[in-house]
Amino acid sequence: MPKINFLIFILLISIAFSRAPAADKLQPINVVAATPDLADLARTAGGDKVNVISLTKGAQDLHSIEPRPSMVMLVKRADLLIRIGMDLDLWMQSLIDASRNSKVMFGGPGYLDASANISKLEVPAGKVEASMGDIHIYGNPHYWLDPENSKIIIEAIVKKLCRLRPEFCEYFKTNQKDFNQKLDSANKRWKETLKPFAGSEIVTYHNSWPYFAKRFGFKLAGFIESKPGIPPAPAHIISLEDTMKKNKIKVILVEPYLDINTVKRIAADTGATALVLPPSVGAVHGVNSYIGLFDYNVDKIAEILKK
Amino acid sequence: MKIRILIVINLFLVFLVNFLFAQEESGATPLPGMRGTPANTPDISVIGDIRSRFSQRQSDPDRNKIFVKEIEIAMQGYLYPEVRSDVFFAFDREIDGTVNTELEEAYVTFLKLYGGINGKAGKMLVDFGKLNKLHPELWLFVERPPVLSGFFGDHGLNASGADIAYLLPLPFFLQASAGLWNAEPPAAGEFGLSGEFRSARLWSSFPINDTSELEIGASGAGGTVPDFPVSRDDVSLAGADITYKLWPATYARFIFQGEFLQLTRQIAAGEIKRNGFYGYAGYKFDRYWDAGARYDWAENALPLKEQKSGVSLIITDRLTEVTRARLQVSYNIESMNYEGFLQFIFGIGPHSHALR
Repeated sequence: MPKINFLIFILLISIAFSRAPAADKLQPINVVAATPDLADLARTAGGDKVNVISLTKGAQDLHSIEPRPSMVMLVKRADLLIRIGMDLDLWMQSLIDASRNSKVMFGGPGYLDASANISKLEVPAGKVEASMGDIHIYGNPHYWLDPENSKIIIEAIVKKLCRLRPEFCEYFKTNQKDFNQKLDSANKRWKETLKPFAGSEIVTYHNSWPYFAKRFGFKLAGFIESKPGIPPAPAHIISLEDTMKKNKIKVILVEPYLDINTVKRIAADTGATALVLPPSVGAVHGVNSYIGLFDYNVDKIAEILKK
Repeated sequence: MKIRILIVINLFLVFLVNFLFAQEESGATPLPGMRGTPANTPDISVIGDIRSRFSQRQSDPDRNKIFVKEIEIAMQGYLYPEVRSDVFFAFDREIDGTVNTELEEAYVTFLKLYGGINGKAGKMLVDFGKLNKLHPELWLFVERPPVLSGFFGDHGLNASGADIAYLLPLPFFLQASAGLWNAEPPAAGEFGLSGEFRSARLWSSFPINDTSELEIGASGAGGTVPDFPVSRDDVSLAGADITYKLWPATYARFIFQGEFLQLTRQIAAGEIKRNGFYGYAGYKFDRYWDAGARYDWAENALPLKEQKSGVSLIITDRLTEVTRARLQVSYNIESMNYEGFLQFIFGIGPHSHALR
């Protein structure tokens, strides 16, 4: 098949000598982030030197995002792509593969997996299979819900931005320092607010809150889901309600997009309160920043636990 | 021979040049297909399709039986950050009960060539229309629409060759692809392109707003079909497709998808034109349930014209991303027969597909 051989030959010649053109230093850095939380941190780090887009909204379940062809164009134009990683954003891979943007492919100068330096919780040992539910094999991926992890994330973002625009590196590092100071001050406030409730047991719908619980001293007493991603079986609900009544558990955390009716029924049976908490920036009205997310969540939990 | 040596030299250059520019990503989550053991094994997965068929036609050999329609074994992995390979073996049960073992697809994808171009080489489902490239476990219904099985055969338009796809430098998604292929002759009694043929496709997608997107496509193919016992007929295919998706809530989705195909065939007696289309509308209520309906109308590709049309109602329960149970009831208008399918698709392992 000489025609096909020739076509392949021409294509491979092109691969060998094609590289991404150098970024235009006058244009802002185009940043595409998997989530609004990563987008907010990128905006904070980059200031007016970045254009940041999030591929998802805060009220979406990251486990079930459907990639769209129009998202390919956003990834194509990106100088920096920030992933959540830990298999929570597998849907992004088809977009990256279709984008033809080698800058943001694995190993490229614009590829950032924000989980890279995070101390991961609940990393499974031994064999992992579907009988355990929807287990993430690299550990629990909801790490951005520990505010201290945002320091690690923003440091990684600044490192990448400095590589892309070394002339603005000091500016990015100043932004990082400002953010860390604001975070430390907010952290003190949050810890003071939740200190009286340290050691309290809480129940959550999905196992999204272990990093948050560990940071603020809560104990996760159980989950509405029988296993991760598996809807609750009646026997499991009965057992969970028994635990909640016995231990006088006051609150059930549930994301805005999950089944609130089941949570309300369990809350009514046990005397607890169903508390809808945003897991991401923008998931509820008024939560417009990463620090704002914790301001909201900490105040809401404290309000319930005070009762 | 010289061409093959040049190809090998180029492959070496590819890896050398990209290696020099590659950055280490320590601590980052490995990509699907790069997460193997020290032996660097690919992602291996199994997809199974078990069916039961209920039919009013007493002569239907699969009537009221449970059978394994297909087992697909996939081995997928990255050869390099910008090069991946996908291999799919299939054990596929034909209507007469025989089980064929075939290499369904085996191809290498070069994710970035020059500019906005990527390329694939190997054996694969040809980029024609919306449904042809999709594996059956990704369909929203049990069986291939009659227009596609009538014009492509029961296994779809599948051939060996290469294609390139170019993402045009526009503010919206518009991809142009073209391929050169060589297909095996179709199975006895089936119609399908064989020998050398060409294909092309234009695929565009527009976000209408934050919660909806419209895709449109146009496809073409030209080649020959065997006209037993001695001749080959020139055939050209043209297709148009449309997909509209609306996501009104986190887990909800409305989809409308339709394809129209026209086949032109030069036979000994002259030229024949045949048309066909399908339209599917479905709604996903939540994480687990969706329901839909499909209308089919198709003429056959043979000199003696026949027409098939029908309506199908489908309901699906998704247990996981890949595992699902489905009930489909279809009514064939010409024969005035009902048939029903119960289907169970299961998946073991990390199965992934490109954006389609």
